Amino acid sequence: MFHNKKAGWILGCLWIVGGLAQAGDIDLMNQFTFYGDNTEFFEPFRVRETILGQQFKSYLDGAVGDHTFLWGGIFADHRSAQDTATEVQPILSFIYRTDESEGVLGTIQPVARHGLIEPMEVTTLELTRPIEYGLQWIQKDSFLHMDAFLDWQQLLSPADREVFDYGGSAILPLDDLFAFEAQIHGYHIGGAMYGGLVRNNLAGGIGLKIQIHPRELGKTYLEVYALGSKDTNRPLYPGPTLGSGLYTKLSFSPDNAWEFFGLSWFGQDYMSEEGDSNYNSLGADGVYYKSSRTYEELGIRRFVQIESGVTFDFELRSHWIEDAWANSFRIVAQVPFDLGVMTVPFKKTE
Amino acid sequence: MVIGKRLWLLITSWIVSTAFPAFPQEILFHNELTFYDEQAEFNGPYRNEESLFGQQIKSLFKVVKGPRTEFEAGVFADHPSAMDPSFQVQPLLTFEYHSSTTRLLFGTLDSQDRHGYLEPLEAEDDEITRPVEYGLQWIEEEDHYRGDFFLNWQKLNIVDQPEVFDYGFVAKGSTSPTMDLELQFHGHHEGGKLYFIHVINNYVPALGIKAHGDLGPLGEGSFGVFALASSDFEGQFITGPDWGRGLYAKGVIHPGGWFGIYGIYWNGRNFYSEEGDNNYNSQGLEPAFYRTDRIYEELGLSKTITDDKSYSIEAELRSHWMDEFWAYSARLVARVALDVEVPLKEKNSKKDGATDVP
Repeated sequence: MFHNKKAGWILGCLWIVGGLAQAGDIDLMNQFTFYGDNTEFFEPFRVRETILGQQFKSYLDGAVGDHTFLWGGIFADHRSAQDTATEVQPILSFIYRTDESEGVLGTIQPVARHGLIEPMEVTTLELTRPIEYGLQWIQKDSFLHMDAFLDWQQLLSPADREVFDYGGSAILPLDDLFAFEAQIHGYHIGGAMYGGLVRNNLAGGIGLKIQIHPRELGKTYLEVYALGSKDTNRPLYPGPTLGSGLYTKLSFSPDNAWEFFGLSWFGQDYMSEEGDSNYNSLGADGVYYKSSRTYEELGIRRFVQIESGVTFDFELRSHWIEDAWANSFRIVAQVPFDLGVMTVPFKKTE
Repeated sequence: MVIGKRLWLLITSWIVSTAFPAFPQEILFHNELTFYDEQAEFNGPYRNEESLFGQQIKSLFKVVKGPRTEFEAGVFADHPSAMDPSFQVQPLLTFEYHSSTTRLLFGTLDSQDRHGYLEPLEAEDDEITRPVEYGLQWIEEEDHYRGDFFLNWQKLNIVDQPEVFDYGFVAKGSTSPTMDLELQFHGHHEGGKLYFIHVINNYVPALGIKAHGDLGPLGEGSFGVFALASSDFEGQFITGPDWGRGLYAKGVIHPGGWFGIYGIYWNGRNFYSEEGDNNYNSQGLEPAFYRTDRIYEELGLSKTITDDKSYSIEAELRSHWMDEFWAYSARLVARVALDVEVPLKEKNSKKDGATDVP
């Protein structure tokens, strides 16, 4: 018997999904992620941080109809240390899927932070928040590539405020060379039912991407975004409500394996709650404030598909935050291990 | 949600238990049981009396993904023998990339024999009290060279707790069939900018030479001499100077091949190693006790019975002289390994984008 009710609830969910999905294919999807992310930032905007650990995701993927699926399983995150507890979260989702669309209700497994750029969502969220709960719609056709979501982070109760973030990214390919892009990200703390301050942060923008594939240069692209931000009711916030910024990224990948990239940022009173705070005007201590901001980044990334779905990702970055310099790196190994559990012909419901 | 660690047993076994009935599988289920008893009858000033007695189990699944990669997933449990039925459970999760001479580990490390460290660099007790380490490791093993480089993360940087990690390497090269040159380094760091600003660093390098070979009636023997240094910046014990040094010598013989007899001699000056055996340090357990020049000697008998596969029994009896103090200690460790090949077949296809990488 489990001493923890939630642990028992998770295993109960697994059993239920396993039972419901017996009318179709059932696969056991497993993924191990081994990660290390080290940032040597100094104040005022970000502080240094090391994130090192292992994650394990295991869930049953059962087809319950031609276009409908269920996921049921667990996600566990163990930070590397001798005395850490292991964070375990349930995976329980209903999925509607066609050739061009996918809708998810329940547990969301975001890929690359829903496509959001760094000023909207900081890259470490890929490791610290690899699963989310809410709604997601992914569209991928010749007209539109889109990932829209609502991620519920904390429910409203007498003791807690409701917290959620929402938004998405969209790409409209204009031709083989140009694409129009748009992104938005909102963050909300509220719950008027029990009183308290309601806070909202919204960041968004539009961009243009120029992508070329010359045979001798490999994949290369230039991306330019004009962003705006709005931050309301943040206690003791020293800046104005509205802010703006210009984000430029140039990426050059001569062999589609090594990637060399550079980022440039000009900001004016920009503030994003979940974005990389190196782009914000507000310092990490919540007091320091610099209205006009510049930030630059140069980096090298190597993504290797080793074998049998095993991948290794390495990234080394150099950061210029105003007149300060810092470095950071990331290594991530991902190991999938999917198992076919059973295949049962569909049962037609009368 | 944070759960009790014993649920790891269910989490890691769930994959196999769910899939097991459906397909033939190919997987190695590795189990290792360790029964240990360590008695150290020290009465200060450098170490205190200590008894370690208990059982450990390491149980994991090894899955080979291809010629270059594999992963392990399982649990480790330690139960110090007592009426208290609680036990410590830790996850075992390792990704390994390897070639014929190289192993790169990510996750749970291979910390067998304390990476090969001398006692002044890492205490022998760690083999029992810290059998599981997490971080990064690179092991290179060639005909005339072996290197073990690692980073072991011990504590996270959270409120009221600094980050703690140790790191280092043991590199050994053969200059002839009977002579090895060895370089060791062990670092210990406490700090972390997120919530804690006080930073502690301890560095201990060692360089030495070791001769080994057949000594006839004295059996297999070896003799090694190492020069050590230590630097401790803002360490826990701030009585002594930042820099220290020491000379370490150890000889081993196996008369008749029945048992081993060994002796250790240590001459230190202001030496301090955070993770080493404290009998070698100048700083005593009490902050007020400090002795600049240190002499330490140890004599021991050892016996190992093993089939090099499924079991080993190691016994050791030691006599210690710490300056004018004397103490004794003993260790008995039995290990049993049990591997079970389980048929398992991985499915190649993926249904969703959850494992996609941009």
